[in-house]
Amino acid sequence: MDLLPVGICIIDEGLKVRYWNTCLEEWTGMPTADMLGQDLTEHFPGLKKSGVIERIRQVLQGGAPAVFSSQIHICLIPSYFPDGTMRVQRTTLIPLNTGSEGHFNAMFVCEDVSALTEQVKSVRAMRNQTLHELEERRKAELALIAAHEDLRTYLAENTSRLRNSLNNAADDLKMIRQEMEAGDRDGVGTKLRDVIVTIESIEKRLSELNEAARERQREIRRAPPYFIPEPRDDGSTNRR
Amino acid sequence: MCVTCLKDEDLDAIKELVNIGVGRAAAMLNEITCSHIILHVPILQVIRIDELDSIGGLPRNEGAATVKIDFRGFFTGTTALIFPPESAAALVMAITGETDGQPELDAIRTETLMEVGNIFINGVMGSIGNVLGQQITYLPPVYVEDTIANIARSARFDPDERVLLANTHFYVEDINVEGIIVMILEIGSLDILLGRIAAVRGG
Repeated sequence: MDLLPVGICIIDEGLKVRYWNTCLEEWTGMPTADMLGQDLTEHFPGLKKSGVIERIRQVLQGGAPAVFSSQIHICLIPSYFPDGTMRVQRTTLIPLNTGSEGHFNAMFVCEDVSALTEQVKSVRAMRNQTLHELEERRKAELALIAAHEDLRTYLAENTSRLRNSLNNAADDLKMIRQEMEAGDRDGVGTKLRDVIVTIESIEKRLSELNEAARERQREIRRAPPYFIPEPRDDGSTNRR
Repeated sequence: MCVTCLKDEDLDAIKELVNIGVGRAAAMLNEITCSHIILHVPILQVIRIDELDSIGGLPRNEGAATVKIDFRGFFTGTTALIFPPESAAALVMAITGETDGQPELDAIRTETLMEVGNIFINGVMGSIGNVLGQQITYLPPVYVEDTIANIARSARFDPDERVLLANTHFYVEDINVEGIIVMILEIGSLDILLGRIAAVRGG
């Protein structure tokens, strides 16, 4: 068991350490010679917590193996990496028959799941970010559809207004031509000036529409692209 | 054992035993989740293993999140705690206080679910162990996503063998989580259990 890449500790019904493997020596910095015969709960008081000690005792009475997950307990026998971060562990407690009727030892099997935990957290973060981006895209698509609809309405209204003005100007010009052909030239100058004013207002409206379209184009060019790295709190970058 | 000779009073006694065990387990789950647990009455049936696929009230979905503990030796069977996947993730998130992210099971959450299942199943088996008065040999808990029929097959039951199936539906009220606790007992083990129940009753 010394060669296994998991921490193994065996305690007797008095909670005294009967076995402490090399892996646990390395993880905790506590030599086997110092641990043998010691009360495990005195070294690791977290084991005395309600919800933990009862389950340890159940196993020592020959009950079913007990699993202590890393998410609820982080680790039953705390140990640290050289950088000071805590090793995340999953611990399984298994009853061991001592050979004496009704007497059991309990074997702690501690697996280091620190790397797995980090990977899962990273995958969760990526997944959440992707879902967030999809939601943002969906919102942007809806906004785009709404803007497109607004633009269609705006164009339809303005086109209709311009068409009316042009029709009026054309009718006025036809009437002026008919009057001139009939030899009636009274007030032609005034009427022509009115038509010119109408055409000028049409030209002005067209220029405004043209300028509005150009301004929109400039706004689009000024807007940042959707997928550019966005700085995060930790200094790294995140996709936008 | 003549399974057709199983008397109503025998079934009632086992039903009561399962009910006590599930009640204890529910109390533990109540403590963990701080939610009220609604328990349904256990349903007991003697069936063939290959009939498990067609039994009503059990999930046929292979994605059901299941924690099971097998027991071997003089008393052989399997006890499993089964959740629909969304319920399983919601339960874990409620226990760990996670509020962000999607309710989906991943390697870390399945490990937590295994601990919950372990506590729950040990509660159920504890009451049976007390009646048996003899040591049951358990295997460590295992997390699987499969139908109960496949789980039973993988527990090396003979497909033609008749077994006692006991299942209880429960509902964790505040977090809207449903689950089923299923116990499958070899007929030989049922014999032993009935013998012990009779002894306890003084029969």
